[in-house]
Amino acid sequence: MSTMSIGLAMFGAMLALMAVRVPIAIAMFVPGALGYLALSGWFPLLSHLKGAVYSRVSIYDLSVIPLFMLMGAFAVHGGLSKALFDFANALLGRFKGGMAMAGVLACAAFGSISGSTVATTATIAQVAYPEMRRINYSGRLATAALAAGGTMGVLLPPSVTLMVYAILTEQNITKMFLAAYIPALIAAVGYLIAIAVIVRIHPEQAPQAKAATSSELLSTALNVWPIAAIFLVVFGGIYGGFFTATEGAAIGNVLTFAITLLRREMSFDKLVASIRTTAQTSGMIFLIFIGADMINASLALSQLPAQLADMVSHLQISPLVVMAGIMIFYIILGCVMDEMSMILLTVPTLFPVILGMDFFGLNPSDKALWFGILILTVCEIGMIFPPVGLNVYIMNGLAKDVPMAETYKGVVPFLITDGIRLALLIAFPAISLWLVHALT
Amino acid sequence: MSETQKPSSGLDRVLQTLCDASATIGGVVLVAIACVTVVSVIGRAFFSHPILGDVELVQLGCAVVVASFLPYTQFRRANIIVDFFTTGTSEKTQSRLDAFGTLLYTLVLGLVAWRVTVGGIDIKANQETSMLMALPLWIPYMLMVPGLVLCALIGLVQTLQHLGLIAKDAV
Repeated sequence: MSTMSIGLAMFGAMLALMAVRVPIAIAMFVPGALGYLALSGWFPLLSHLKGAVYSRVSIYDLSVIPLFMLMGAFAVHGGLSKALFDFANALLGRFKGGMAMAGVLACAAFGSISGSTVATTATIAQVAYPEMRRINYSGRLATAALAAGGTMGVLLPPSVTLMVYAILTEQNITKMFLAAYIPALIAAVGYLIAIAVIVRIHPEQAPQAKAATSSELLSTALNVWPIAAIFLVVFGGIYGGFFTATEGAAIGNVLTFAITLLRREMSFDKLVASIRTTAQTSGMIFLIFIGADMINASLALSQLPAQLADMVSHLQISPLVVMAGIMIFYIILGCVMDEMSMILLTVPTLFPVILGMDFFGLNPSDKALWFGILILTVCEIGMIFPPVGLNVYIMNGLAKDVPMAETYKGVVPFLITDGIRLALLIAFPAISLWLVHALT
Repeated sequence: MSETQKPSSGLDRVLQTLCDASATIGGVVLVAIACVTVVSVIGRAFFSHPILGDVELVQLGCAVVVASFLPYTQFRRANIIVDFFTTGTSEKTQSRLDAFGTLLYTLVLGLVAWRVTVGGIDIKANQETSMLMALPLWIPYMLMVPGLVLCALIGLVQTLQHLGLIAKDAV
């Protein structure tokens, strides 16, 4: 068997194992280890494993993942979501569909200090959903707006997805974060427009608008200071070059914990719960890291990625068509696979392909950032795309009176804005890169 | 389910205690990483005196955090699986497939635990240390081992449970 066909066999075996409920990380590790065995033998495999796991997990940048997760978990328990939603609602309540828009905005604000889309969606939805139903929003619009809004947790730094991509491709985390803001802003605007259009076509889905008084606006605005303070100190410090992402995350933890203590929201039980949530989610990500590392080491030995990159660069088709193809491939893969595994599995193979091609004459670092944002966007789409949109499941768990099919119907307008945004991001890399160039 | 009729083995409770403890240890190390980093930043900003080798401490700590968090995830069955292709199959089939999955998990984590142990022993023999603080590198290796072994143990128990050979307790 040629090395190339061993590589392909590994890939096939992995997909077969995944299909029969083997944990994704293990479905990557086992064919990877067997492939390594076939390509170089028992002793090289054993000696590879002696150091590989330790060196995979003892990376300075890797610490940002559990640190930002812990910070997000503290924020969840800090009772900050209600303050955010009240303020957003006071701000947007004057428009028809304003409360749905406020849900999106509150998700964006919470997502800008939390790395987890699950936490963002669930935290805001717990406050916003009952409120929306109380004033007669339709179940379809309420669940769809919050499911879509919750994806802001992926799009905005400190998104776990973004951190994983940056670590995997050895990009500067600060630059990676910066690249995400303008695309996330476009996403939020797109969602607000989608809501405005929905309530115009189907006025019965949302109640009449009710404008907040300026004193309401002021008093709710004063309550959101903790989020603003955390954001300014942590990300101001990171982007201002005062400290690294890990340092920012560490400071953010101390700050968020202190604020929850001050607000008398923190207890020993909540501290333990925060640590356990962090343990569960980071454990899951780290195991996939270890599994993906094994299969990627063997794939590299089989030279499959290099040959693939070579093959694609000699194809007589436009790089943009290849990119569009890759994006469609991701959206399809996202239907059966979770987003994190998708990135860890495919990026090491596809990244060299992307670097080997010419896109608008971008330099390698810009290309890497741009590709990261595109991947982030398709991952975000996967969160609300049928048949397994994670955020739709979360909303379904929370809103038991609304059938999932209703929510899927409701997210269609949001998906349309996602599609338009993805096309814009592919066509104009400057959307992703401008802020990076302006600030670094 | 057939498993519930079997007498309680009490294993789940023991494993739960161990996993909770492991997650807590990982959490304490994570908080320690955060504190060292914050102290170092404060030292650098106000006394132009950062902690020498704070980056190394974060790296070593990170390895320990990872290994301590892994068992908790598996115990909570939170490692991601694709159930898209098997939703239509019977509970029994799914249980058998899950037994296969957890068996592979057990073998992989057992293999990793073994190799990390050997790696740690080698490193101790070679007296490798970190660059700045000269910390012996075998220590983080060995601190990873308990978590990894615990993972393999949980995998084994879960495999037997999926096969219906021992009881699954509600915990």
